[in-house]
Amino acid sequence: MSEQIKFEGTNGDRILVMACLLLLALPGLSSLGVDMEQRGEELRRRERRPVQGWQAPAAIKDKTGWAEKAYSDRLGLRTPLLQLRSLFHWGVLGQAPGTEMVRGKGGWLFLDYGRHLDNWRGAAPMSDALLQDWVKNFLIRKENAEAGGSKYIVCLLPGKPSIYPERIPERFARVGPSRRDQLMSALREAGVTVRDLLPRMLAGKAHDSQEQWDFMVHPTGTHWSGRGERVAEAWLRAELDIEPVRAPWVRRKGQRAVGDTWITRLYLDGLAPFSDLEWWTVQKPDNGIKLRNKRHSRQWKNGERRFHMNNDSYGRGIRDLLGRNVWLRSVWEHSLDGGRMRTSQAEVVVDWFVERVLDDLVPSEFMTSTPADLQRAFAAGESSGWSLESGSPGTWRVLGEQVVHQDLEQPGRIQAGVKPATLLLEGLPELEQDCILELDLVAPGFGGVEVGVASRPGGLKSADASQCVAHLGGRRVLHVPILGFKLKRGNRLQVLLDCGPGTYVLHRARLRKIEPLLGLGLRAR
Amino acid sequence: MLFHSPLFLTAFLPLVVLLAWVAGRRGRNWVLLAASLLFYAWGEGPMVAVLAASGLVHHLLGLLVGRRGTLLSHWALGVGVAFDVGLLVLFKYSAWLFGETPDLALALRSDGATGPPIGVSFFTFQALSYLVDVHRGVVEPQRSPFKFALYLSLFPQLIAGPIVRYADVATQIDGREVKLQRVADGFRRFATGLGKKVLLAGSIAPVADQAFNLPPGELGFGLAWLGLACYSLQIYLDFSGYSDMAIGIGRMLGFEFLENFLHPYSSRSVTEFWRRWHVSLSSWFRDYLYIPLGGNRHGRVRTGCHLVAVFLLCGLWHGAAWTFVLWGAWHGALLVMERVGLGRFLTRLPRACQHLWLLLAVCLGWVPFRCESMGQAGSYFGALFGFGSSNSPWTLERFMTPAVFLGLLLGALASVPWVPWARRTLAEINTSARRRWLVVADLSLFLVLALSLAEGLGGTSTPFIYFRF
Repeated sequence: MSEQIKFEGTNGDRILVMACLLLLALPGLSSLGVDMEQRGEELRRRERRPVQGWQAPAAIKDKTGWAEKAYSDRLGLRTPLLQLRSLFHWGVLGQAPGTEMVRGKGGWLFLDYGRHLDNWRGAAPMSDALLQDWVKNFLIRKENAEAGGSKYIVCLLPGKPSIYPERIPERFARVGPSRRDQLMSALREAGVTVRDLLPRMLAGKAHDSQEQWDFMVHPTGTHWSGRGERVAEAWLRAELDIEPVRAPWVRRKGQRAVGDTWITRLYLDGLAPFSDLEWWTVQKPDNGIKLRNKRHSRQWKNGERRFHMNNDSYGRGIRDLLGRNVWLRSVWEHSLDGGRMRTSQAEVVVDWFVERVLDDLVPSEFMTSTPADLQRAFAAGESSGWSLESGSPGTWRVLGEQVVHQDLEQPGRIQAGVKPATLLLEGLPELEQDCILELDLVAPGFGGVEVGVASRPGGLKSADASQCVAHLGGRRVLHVPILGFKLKRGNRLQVLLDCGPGTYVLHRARLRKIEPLLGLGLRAR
Repeated sequence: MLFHSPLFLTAFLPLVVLLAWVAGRRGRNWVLLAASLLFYAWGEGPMVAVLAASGLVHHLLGLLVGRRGTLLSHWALGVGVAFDVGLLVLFKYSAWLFGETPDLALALRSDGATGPPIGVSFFTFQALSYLVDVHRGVVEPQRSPFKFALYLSLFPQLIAGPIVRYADVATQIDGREVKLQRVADGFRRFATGLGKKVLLAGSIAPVADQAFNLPPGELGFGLAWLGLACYSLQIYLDFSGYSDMAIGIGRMLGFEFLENFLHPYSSRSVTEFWRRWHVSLSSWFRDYLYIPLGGNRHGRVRTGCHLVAVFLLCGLWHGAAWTFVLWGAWHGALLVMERVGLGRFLTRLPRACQHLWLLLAVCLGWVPFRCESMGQAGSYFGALFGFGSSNSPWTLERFMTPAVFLGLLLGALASVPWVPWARRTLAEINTSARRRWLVVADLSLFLVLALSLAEGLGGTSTPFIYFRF
């Protein structure tokens, strides 16, 4: 009846006890005095050692979890043990050794983070509410772009499963439209211009070579391969009618695309099929021409065509080739600061996002707003006690000038040259909650007004919680949100006036506390 | 610190075992007490003070209860029972009963956690059984507060059982021997439990989670049954695996804990199931609640009432939710039905039908046990009986990977009593062949230990289900 297994043999017992103790104690012992800095590249960074804060009893629990992770990350024999685990998963169970990876056909690997494959196969379509939030997000972006005179297009890029569905295990059979398909249809219905790269990528597969391990994507990674990027670059240039840059693509052999393969990170070296890639890259010209494109509107050359591209991690390789006047903004949170779109005054604003963002991002949490949204939030706000009106405690001055102005009984005049002027708003109260700054400002031309919090006395080079709004020129009332930052005594607001050289006139500045805001159109949290 | 975490496996366990061996008879208990308190504090931080306070209170009350035959003894027992019930209500049931967690519990739980402290149900029941046993004269009160603290906090079984009675370990606490053969058996048992938990339960747990987490309208017939099968095996492998590990560690340290699982899924009736499932809990309820209530001594109706009452409380012991109450009521009702005639009917059926009945009855009971709400349980039952989604994209094929299939197969194998059969067979073959087989078995267990350690390092394992009770 008992589940107990009783074995005999004293020698066997002795050997077993010694072997088990050795197996258990050896990893710990071998990490004593051995620096495990050489740990293999894994899925996440190594946990830091928790060294502080053990004094508070309540914090012990958090620290112990942290300490366990740090200990595991530094454990001796970690690599052989994880190789054993990978051998078991890959060789015996026939699966990828990670909960967020799926082993495809022919030894391919697919990232399944956020249940990407189920979303792709149509098993978990977006609800109507979620879909509408995404549409609203893109409509706000469109409104911002068009307010700056830009044409707006969205490119929802196809990921690995869309390009190579035949490599996905049969159990992920498609049952409906993917989230990308859903959103593209909805955006088109809403009047947003959507362009589809997928047909071009599928056409590119005709040149695949199994023997040379040459595909449009990295078979054991996540992103497009160099050839895939090359196809995307040609497609985008054709879409935008951009002149090609004189930097040829070349093929290189024998260099592994480290950084976009999961093989090493999953300890699958020697287990999974992996060939050194023959990959495409850009031949850097040796004639002194810089390939890097512009990262800031102020660096743009007047008279040249301008493009503004909000991109995530896809197509890094093509960015250098899009031309000098493509202003790139890396957008990870997709919480777009619409003012920058308006300020860019680009011919076209391109949103360049891979479909995988639809798996785990929640658009209702994006701080995407229009000027009207901000004005509404300001009107509903409550006075912070700070303003630049008669009798108010606020003061202001221009960076580089010693004169401190008390209030704005007379409008303040600020002269700016080619270099933008910076206004400092001082005497601010301590504020625990979000707020909005209202500026009644005359500007000499179209441009951006960027407001950040200078939290260190001498640290004007960096500003926290920076937000940019567009100024269309002339006299305008602007509303700039200051979100997720607690104002402390001594903090200053740093206002960068970037609307061209000339005279700026500040008529009024008010700061209002607002309710905690969240999401599209700044609705209440 | 989980039993399958790298820190426990590669540092805590070998260090404590070695220290306990070299500390000698007198030092051994001190090493274990310190290790046990550290083990609990590591996971529960300041709540170790509650454990220590409970130990102190029960030790003092035990001395008073030990003055048997006096009014003081009765009063002390009453205070002890009130203390334990109060502790459980404070930390586990207050939010459910009164709608909010009392300030006292929040103040004691200064770490901001809202759930009950890990293992509170286990160590409270242990403490209560001690007071009652002393009152009944089954054991003498422990005079040493440190030895009593060791009994209450012994780390192998502190947070998820088995619920060890003082009478079973009293002599072992006073003095025990560590023999090589028993240590080897301890390692074998520990590796078996670790493999059950990490390799088998871990491979099928994602399917159960997926099935039970799907929105009601999306669950189809096939996945509903697969999810239920996976959960039924998972909870057995998870919990019996923990008990195996606890018993194994106990043997390494010279203790012998009673068996907690006796292949319950091989039972042929629900009555038999409860003699084999979580034995330490079911026997606790039998000895300290069912029999004192009157047991089966007052006719069929009263017996039925006693059974239902005991199982309602057994359900509540697992958690403060109506789903657990329903689970308890389900088992109570099944036991009553078997007593009033169903049991006799079952014995006339072929054995396969009896097993089928047991599996069906128990597995269906796991539905409310696993579900978060009664509504979810209702939807899940609907899907099981064909009222779920008819064109769900979540098909069997989607989840039936080789790893899940292997996990189910080996899990089912681990839940039938093939070991006694293997032992008998081995005893019949000649010595050299038997030795070879034993070496193969030991090598397999060693590999299981290494793989489980590697799996823990990979960080994909889930916590033990029974921790939350």
